[in-house]
Amino acid sequence: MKRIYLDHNATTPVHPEVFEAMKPYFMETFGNASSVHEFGRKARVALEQAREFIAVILKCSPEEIIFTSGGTESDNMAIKGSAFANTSRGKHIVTSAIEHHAVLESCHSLKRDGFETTILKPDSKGIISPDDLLKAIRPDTVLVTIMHANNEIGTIQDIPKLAEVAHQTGVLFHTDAVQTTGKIPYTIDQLGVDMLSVSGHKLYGPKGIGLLYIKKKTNIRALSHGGSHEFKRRAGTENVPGAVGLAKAIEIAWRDMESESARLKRMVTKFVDGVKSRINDITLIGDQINRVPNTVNIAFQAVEGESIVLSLDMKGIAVSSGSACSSGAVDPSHVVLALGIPAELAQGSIRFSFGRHSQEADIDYILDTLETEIARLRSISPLYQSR
Amino acid sequence: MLAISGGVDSSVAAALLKEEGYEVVGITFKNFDYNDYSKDPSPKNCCSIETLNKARIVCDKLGIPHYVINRVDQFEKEVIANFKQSYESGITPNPCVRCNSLVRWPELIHLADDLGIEFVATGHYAQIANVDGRLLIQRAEFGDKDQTYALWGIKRQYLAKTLFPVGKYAKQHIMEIAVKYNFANTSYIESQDLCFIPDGNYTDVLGISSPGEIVDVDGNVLGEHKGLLHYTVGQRRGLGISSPEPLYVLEIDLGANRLIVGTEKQIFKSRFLAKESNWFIDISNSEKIRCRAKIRYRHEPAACSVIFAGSDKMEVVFDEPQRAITPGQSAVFYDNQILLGGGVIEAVF
Repeated sequence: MKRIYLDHNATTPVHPEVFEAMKPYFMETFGNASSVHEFGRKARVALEQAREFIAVILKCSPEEIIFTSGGTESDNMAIKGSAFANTSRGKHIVTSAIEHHAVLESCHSLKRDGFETTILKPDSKGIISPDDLLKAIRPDTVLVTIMHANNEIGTIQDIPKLAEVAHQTGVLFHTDAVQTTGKIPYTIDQLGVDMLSVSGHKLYGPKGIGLLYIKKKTNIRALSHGGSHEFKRRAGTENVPGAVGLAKAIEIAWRDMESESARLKRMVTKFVDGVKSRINDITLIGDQINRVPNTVNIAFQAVEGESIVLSLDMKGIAVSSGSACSSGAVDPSHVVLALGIPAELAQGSIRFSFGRHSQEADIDYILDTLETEIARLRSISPLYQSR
Repeated sequence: MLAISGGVDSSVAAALLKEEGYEVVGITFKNFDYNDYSKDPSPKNCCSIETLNKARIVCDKLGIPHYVINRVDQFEKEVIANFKQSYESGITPNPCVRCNSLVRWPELIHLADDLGIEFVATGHYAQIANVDGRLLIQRAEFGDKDQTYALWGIKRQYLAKTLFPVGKYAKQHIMEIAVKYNFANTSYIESQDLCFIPDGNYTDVLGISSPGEIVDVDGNVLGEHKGLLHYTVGQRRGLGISSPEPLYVLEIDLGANRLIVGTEKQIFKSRFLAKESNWFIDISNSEKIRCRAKIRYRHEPAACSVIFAGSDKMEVVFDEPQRAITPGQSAVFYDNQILLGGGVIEAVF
């Protein structure tokens, strides 16, 4: 059976060049970057070169980059670390209803430490209004955390504007850039944020590596203690092959971004046009202009997203609905619901996220399969028949 | 479409179906949020995240797709809420019966229909029999493992789409197949605990109930109970009363917060009313039938008359008095090996 992967927002395969770059750091240059001897020094050099390389691309200082285990840890560190370090100012956080669970649950966990969270609602396209943010900020607000682009609908926020609002009132601003890094060009100074999370495996890097950018002089408390690794902000022996892989993945993403982005845009447009012309009663979810080029979310009326995902998987096409959890079960999408889309329509929403290995030549097969499966599901849907 | 929990029986069911030439899809229901009801991240009950991953490994070994399906809301509404409400009303529910009737089968059939799958299957020890052209549920070939007691509430029309791959085998044979396939879970010990209370600590779900008096049938106070939630009709242990002959819980009097206890002799009764019945045979023209009734999971079916009283109610009269007929438990009716139907015990006389 033909297998087509359309779930690149969940994870991506490691790029061959990334794999090649990492290889020497498992068995040859295996040293502990903190060791004094030559083995250690070699590892340290590789780690710091990776850090510098990333800093050049993101336009920040190397000391502002902390390697972590991935997006979730970066979000946790940014939110809890800055919350605990700034309690003298207050115990209030502002976030949005469409954040990744790593952000929402981090904020939620602070409740027991006496923190309050204001959760901003997006408009029907998934955009967070700077005016709403301004109104939500209180004298005791210590942090605003709003994602750069959403993982389920791909909608991009106006981060420079939102960060500016936070800074007007002297509040720290964090953004989860897991879904934009490698997909759209940005630099830290353009965004104007204090903290930014990146995950390696979303951009053809390895799993188990990510980074948190922390602007100089930002008051943040470490969450794990031990040695003085990562500028005393994250104890633990450094993941040298991971850092090398992440740097390479970022290099490749920025190198190929223009052409790859154009290719993806063309492909997604062809796909969306095909769906529109071949399948009735669909709704495009999220902002169709301010959107990462690889992601499209479509709700198919009167069918369950779960049945679509399973049917397509059995035909070899991998898509997703809602957000995956550790059990692999599909939970209802808090993101699509937050847009004010009725629950019965939201449950029929599917995320198609294309990537480097997606081929324009496959679009017809995808459309054929999708059309057949939706028609079949609707033919047995009492909801659709009764319309 | 096979409901697979990751335990031995459903894992072997998957292998058997494959051997019989079926194309198989494995489904595991996620029925509750694991952290809500368990303090132990790896309990040995059937629905923990650990066994769920075992199901995934088994399906992968067999080369079949496996999906985890979230039915937390349905399970909460149909099973857990009823479980709590039952105990709060002083009756002893059968959550597994409700799960099969109201969650597992309807959801499996619905999903199978959506995916264009012809049959649904589970790892229950039960069989489907064709009796004069009518499909009925039959007890497992080896009676000691029979699980038909929990299946009486399945809708009649689902039987044509239902398969029970392990029902004709002895447990020993199933274990041998598990070993043959090298399913790492053969050491798995079956738990008597409920899936959503893996620690066996009911107060986690039910909360705490207040102590009160233990009395005999004449109202003489014999001791103090530690909250009515902790008792069920027929229970002997844990009463904490010394008495010349063993005492048993006869009745849970919720209104007065009293536990009524009595002797072995007093616990035998002959007659009860049942409700919410479901029948696999046609009873529309019958006033009364003779059959055998089983009144709890471990009860040897006993001869009785069932007198129909209205749409889904009936009166049941045993030929011989039976021990601890308990409100809330299922009464399940058999003609020899054939499951005729069942109902929920409402009142005992």
